[in-house]
Amino acid sequence: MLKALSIQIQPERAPELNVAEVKRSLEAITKSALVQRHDFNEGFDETRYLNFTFGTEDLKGLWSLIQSTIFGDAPFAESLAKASIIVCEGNDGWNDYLQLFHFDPALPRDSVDAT
Amino acid sequence: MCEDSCIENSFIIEEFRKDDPRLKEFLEISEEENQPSFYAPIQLLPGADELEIEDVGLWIEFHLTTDDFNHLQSLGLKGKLRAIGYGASGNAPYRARTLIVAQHQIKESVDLPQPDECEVIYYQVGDEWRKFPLDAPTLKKRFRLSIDRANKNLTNMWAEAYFGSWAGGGRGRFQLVARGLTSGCSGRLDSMLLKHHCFIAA
Repeated sequence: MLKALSIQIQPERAPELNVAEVKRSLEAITKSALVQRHDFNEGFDETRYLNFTFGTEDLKGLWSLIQSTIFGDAPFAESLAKASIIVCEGNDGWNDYLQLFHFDPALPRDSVDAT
Repeated sequence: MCEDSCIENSFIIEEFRKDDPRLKEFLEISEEENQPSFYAPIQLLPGADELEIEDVGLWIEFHLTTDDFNHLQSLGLKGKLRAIGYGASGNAPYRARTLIVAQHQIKESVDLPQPDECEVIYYQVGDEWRKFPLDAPTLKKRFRLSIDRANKNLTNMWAEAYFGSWAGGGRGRFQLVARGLTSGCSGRLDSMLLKHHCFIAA
């Protein structure tokens, strides 16, 4: 069953972040066989935000790919970490979603193994 | 035994195998979901003057075009157009394109069918939502405009991934706010099924 994983980026949190470069990297992920569908939107809600949502049947595999693609050796990794939130559906969809990453390191991070 | 006034209910629990064909409609991506689409909410600040774009840079950045502006002008709209966001499902080239032009806060939730392989403009006149072109084909899946629970002056907009995906399946609105977003970063994070697209200040 398809599960959704969403990445939100709030560029104002890291003005130095090259958003276009991040977009390119995330767009490349959409070509992966791990991704069955994807959505994107951008707008303002007190601050500017970009949302990337991927639908996958393999959450663990996708999360691993995302981590290596955007948080691994990527030149923007450090900046992106200051400006992003990543969540995914849990066993009961969004009712028990998992927070995989948050720009605030004080907030708890769930493991995708919980699904 | 039940009396006449009593209704006897029963149900059967049946275990489905993962490859059961009856699960196909739930497990496979529907045609509706497969259609790459683009949508952009726009706020119209009504005025007596000829229609203009408030911030042309933002208009372009949000993938709005001169043609879009010309279409909106041809509808007789007056005032300023404010680009407030955009969204896309799937990859370009998009087979469906929607502009949603809101003037003021809605009084109740509004459902607008998503276009099927074409371009559609929905625009608010008074409390009415008009569609252009009138005969544009649409899908069952919808955009839903609703009043934000926390701030009645805000409008939430959701784009359904497929018909019925936001309600009836136990899926509620998804927000990170309840789980520790600090103040000043209330940008919403969307779920795939409940895509919260934007806010329109009333």
